[in-house]
Amino acid sequence: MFGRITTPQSLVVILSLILGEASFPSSDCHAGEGPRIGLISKSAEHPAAFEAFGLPAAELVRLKSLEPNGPAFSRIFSVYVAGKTADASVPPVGGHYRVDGARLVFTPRYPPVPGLKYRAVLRLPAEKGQAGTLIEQELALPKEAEVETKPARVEQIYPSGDLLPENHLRFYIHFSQPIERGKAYEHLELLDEAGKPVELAFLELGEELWDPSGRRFTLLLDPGRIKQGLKPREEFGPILTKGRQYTLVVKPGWCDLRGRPLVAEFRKEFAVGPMIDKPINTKRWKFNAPRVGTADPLVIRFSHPLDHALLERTLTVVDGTGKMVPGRVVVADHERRWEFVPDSVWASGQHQLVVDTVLEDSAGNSIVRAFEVDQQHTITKSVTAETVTIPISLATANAASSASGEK
Amino acid sequence: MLNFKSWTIAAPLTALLAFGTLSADAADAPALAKKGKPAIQSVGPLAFGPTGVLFVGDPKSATLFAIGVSPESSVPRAAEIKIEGIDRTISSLLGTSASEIVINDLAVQPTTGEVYFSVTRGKGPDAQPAIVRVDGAGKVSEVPLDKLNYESVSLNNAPAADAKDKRGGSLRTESITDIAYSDGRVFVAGLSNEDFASKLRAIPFPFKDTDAGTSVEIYHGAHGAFETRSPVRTFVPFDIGGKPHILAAYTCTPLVKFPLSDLKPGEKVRGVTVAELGNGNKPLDLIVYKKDGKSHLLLSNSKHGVMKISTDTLDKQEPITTRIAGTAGVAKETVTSLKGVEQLDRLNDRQAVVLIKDAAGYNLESIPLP
Repeated sequence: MFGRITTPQSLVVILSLILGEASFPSSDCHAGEGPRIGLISKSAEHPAAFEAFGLPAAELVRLKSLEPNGPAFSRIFSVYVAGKTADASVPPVGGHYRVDGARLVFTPRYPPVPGLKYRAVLRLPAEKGQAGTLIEQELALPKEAEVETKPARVEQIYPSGDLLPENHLRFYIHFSQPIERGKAYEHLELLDEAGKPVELAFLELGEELWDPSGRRFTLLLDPGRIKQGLKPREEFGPILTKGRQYTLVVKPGWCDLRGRPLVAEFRKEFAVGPMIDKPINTKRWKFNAPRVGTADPLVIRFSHPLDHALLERTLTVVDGTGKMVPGRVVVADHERRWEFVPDSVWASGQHQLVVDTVLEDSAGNSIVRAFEVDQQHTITKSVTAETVTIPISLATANAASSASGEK
Repeated sequence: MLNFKSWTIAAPLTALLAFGTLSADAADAPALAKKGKPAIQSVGPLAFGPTGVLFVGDPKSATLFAIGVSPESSVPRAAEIKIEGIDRTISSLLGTSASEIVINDLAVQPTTGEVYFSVTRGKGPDAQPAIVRVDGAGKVSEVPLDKLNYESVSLNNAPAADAKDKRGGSLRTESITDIAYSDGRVFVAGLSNEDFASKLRAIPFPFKDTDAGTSVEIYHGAHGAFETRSPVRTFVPFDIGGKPHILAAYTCTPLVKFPLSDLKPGEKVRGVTVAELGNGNKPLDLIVYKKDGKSHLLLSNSKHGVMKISTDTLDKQEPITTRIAGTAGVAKETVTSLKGVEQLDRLNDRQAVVLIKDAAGYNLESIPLP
């Protein structure tokens, strides 16, 4: 048999928490006021936790004698995510218990979500002729102070150019803020010239392709409809056709992490040119010759646009001793130019450009082979990292006055 | 998306269970070398391996983990599972709302029928991974990820050449589309967010340090092309004509078999299309089971519902080499009673467990194997 207690003090506690005060009245000040429940904000010393205090001394002694974290604790004190109606089938929030002085502390395994309401239930059993006690209380951590930020927008879609090959494979969509994951493909559309959506254009993956920051989404066109001879292409034809115009649409219904839709729809219009079906030929890259003793950028020009993300990480400059030269990379001219600005001046010695063979263009052609490879080609099967190195010519210090660094 | 349930391994164990000897023999399981808190950053596809070993694909860190999950031998095996609103149940346990979790995959511990879920709590870059278990009594609990026996192997094959790492933080991640275990090897299908390295890897288990396995290119006999360019959506290892094969389903929906004996570094693996299962369709999850002395496949699809596919003629099936407008190949039937099935796994000799999506959310149900 339980009696229900609602004390004015507990209401004060709730209000103070909703107002964002992390402090909690010490049990000493409230001695003799009976059992109560509170939710303590995270601090430097402890994570956010639910606490029951004002418990009878005998109960505390009994709790301390129990198996740490055993099921007896959750029978006495448990926390639920508060629903519109009490749902008996819903389990309590997982976490661990400890007795700290006169308090029974429940620390959820995952920190409570600010603004989400929790229902904490304390059940003290009947003892020595006294009725048991049931206290239920809804508690919430204050919503985090919202830094005034604008809702997210699409900053850029790569490739940044407006002419893409017929066998184009990959887009990168960059957002100004992290975006909610889980329903990406509902917010994307590829339209043909008539404004009609291209069916089954995207490779929809259960595990969406986000970068670790949550701000860059990789969108793959279905490779089955790009590569010749595969079933989806035979069935539906190619996604992109040479000579036609298309629009990639990012719909505004895509939300940021605060549930706010994008500032605006984003449309990337592009024309489609011929297929690129050859491996990347590094012999066709054009290098400038930065001068020894200067911090002139090393500039490489490509014959067609390469993959933006891969250009950021697959090219490395090493010095004569094989040590990586630290510096900054700039990808420009619609991914047709790669600039490397060294942190310090160029030393003499034979420098080299190390190219990871995973480098691809936007159609998935790599240095090693074309995307549209056929069975005659030898394929590498072992999972190993491979690189090619290209010597870099530096202009000598003497020639500094006459050299004209390409830029 | 899917988890292989090796019926060849599971069948004798479930037979033992039928006689009430619910002892998962831990001695059968290879010892997992490490103890403590594995650096799991995200949880994607799941698959059970040897008894008590759960493989967890971690797409964020491009790592495959093997974690020890002791069978709860004291809990009776469920005759029937029906949890409506399993998404709400799981989110409550994790202290958040149902809209803030994503259920990525499910797998059944073959010896006990416990259902394991990989769950993402939160929807941003700080989302946290969780493994949740439903025991034989229907009780839902979380598997603590801080005190585990485990091993891991990195799938990221080029850390040394990753200049972006040296410049500060790689943006490369890997989507692991499916994993399966068979006969001492874990098969992992994956796809990167940068380079188009659609790979099927075979990784020996127990893991050896730095051995990320063999990357496989599947040469597709019918289409004259490397089918790995069209990534494997879901697959199961399966014996055909006494020889181990992998059966893989692709978008639109060819079912392709290829022999594992060919799966060696430096050798080509030739795939043969044994069925065309329907147009405009994405296969979601695939299991294999035995009924009335025969093996069948059960495949859930985005458009064509759940299909039961006969395996009787897989070894004799004439390869499909021409363009097919509709369906062709090995016999199949649609299980019309099943709608909205996103995930499935074999629960025991008679039942499967399915994750069904409806308007209100997700339900977990056991169904008789059709």
